[in-house]
Amino acid sequence: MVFRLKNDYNFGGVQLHKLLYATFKASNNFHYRALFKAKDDILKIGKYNQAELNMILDSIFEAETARKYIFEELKNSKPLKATEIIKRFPFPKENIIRDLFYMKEKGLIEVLDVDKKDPLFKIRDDLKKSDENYFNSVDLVYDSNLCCQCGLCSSICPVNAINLRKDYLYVDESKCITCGLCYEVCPNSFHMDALMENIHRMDKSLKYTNGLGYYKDIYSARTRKYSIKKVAQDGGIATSLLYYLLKQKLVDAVITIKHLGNYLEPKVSIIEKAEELNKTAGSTYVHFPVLSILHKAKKYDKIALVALPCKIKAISKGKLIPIKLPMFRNIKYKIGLFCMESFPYEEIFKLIKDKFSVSVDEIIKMDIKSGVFELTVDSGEKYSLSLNDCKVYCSQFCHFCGDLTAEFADISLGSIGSDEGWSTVITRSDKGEKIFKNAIKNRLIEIKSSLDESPIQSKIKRVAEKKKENIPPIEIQAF
Amino acid sequence: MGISYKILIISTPGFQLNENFISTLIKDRENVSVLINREENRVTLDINELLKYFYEGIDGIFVFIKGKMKKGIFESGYKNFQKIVNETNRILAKRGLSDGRIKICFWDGKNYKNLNEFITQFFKKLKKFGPNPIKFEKLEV
Repeated sequence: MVFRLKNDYNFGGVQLHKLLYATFKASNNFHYRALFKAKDDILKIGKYNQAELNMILDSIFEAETARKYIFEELKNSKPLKATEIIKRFPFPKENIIRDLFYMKEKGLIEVLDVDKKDPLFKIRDDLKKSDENYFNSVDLVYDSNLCCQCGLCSSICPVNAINLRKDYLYVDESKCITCGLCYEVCPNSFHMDALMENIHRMDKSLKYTNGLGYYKDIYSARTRKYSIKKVAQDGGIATSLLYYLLKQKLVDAVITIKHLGNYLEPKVSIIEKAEELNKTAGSTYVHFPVLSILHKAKKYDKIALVALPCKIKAISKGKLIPIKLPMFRNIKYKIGLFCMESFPYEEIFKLIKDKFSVSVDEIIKMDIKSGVFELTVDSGEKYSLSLNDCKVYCSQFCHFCGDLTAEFADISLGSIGSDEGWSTVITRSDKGEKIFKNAIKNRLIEIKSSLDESPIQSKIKRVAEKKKENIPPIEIQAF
Repeated sequence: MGISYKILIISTPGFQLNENFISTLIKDRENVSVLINREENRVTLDINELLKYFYEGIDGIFVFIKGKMKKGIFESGYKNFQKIVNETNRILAKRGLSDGRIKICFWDGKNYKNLNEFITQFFKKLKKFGPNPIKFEKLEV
């Protein structure tokens, strides 16, 4: 089963006085009000055109009307199961489930037995007088050390008020229109994990293993293409898949990082030609705001994206929230990379300076394997350090992240569980599985035959559980 | 017994809603009775409150904005009212209430002679739309 949200609401079965009341209530939505007020300024800035902005406003308004209607109808009822609620409303069931979880995140609804297949929903008893929750701007997340530097907030900001430079996020209050879109899309402001879990749970074709999340299949694979093999981090699967997608014209462009002169200073890039992909191979373990250029990719019909789990989660959340931002329309393939932890830009320099006797310019490869952080320099020499000794340098956000294997990607890749020169591949969706199998058919990728899944599984599970261990509860500093 | 229409007149400061005007509005119009509510000296307008009026059963809203016509261009400090009215009309239309139940009239003292024409046109439109359907539904409930 595929989870399909239909953001064009049809209120056909709703009584007019109830619909008008919900509409009147919806017009208090603060996203809508702020964006409507600043409409002329936003159009002048030009990130969104008239049609896109109207689509955003309409989607906010329609979804808020539906939520207000659902909320009013449930206000005086006893806790109801999701299946019972679905029957009571004339909206697509996927939308109702999404809206219920969304209202939970807005503090309007409680979800009882969240892990059960059919959880109970209840309007909170402790609702404040105002049922309109206001979100601050995303600097609240940054100030709470929860920013994963995905760059999504700066890409979607309609007035370009958010600046991301190296490790810093700065909201220009003189430009900010307090529309709250940044906070809404931020993967760490509020989580839609429970909803995403529910969506996956509905798909009976998926297997589940703790640590791996929901998936279709696991493989150990490597590229067959020599030009990719010689520059690849492990098995060269990410580059091979992108090559396949571009060559087969399944996407118009891919977003990933591109290595230019300095190994530690790659650029987030949009790549249209398969021939340029060699410059994208290799990991740097430094946070890059990969999603900060999503708005520049709006012009394409179909794109693919390679990113760390935190960024993949941002995209997944962005696609789920009921705001039709044009940035999410064309993302067809999400390729996630395993990540134990990564480093802020300045901290990686400090780490290299403090712990390794090498110059940054000499480094040609970085790797994290079996709890060891490893550097390779241009002479071929390798230097290593226990990952535990690197913890102090890693991104603050990583301490709160439990996603090792990019659980919300279409296809996840990493070295854990596979031999040297091979990559572990976890396919998680039909389209992820399809492109992987077609890349094999096209002789771009080879897989290990008669692969026993269980050793890979158990290894990933062990590392993933270690990552999930001791994650402190997330607390956003409210002032 | 004819149809009864509830009209709200919203006006910005400087617009005098005199009794002559009111009598022009409520005079017998082909078996249609008209109830007028007034909101005078308004300096702000909000989508939220306009929608609330329709939820409460208002059939149409006439918004008078005081200003001056200079070289064929209307100048007023309340020009954003137009944006709000357009958006509210658009929302109402999506909810099945015909687009145009809120009408703006940019008012310059010089066009007093056109007042009757404005009102007649608005009434024609409202009659075409019929009363706010929410009234019937609320009666049923």
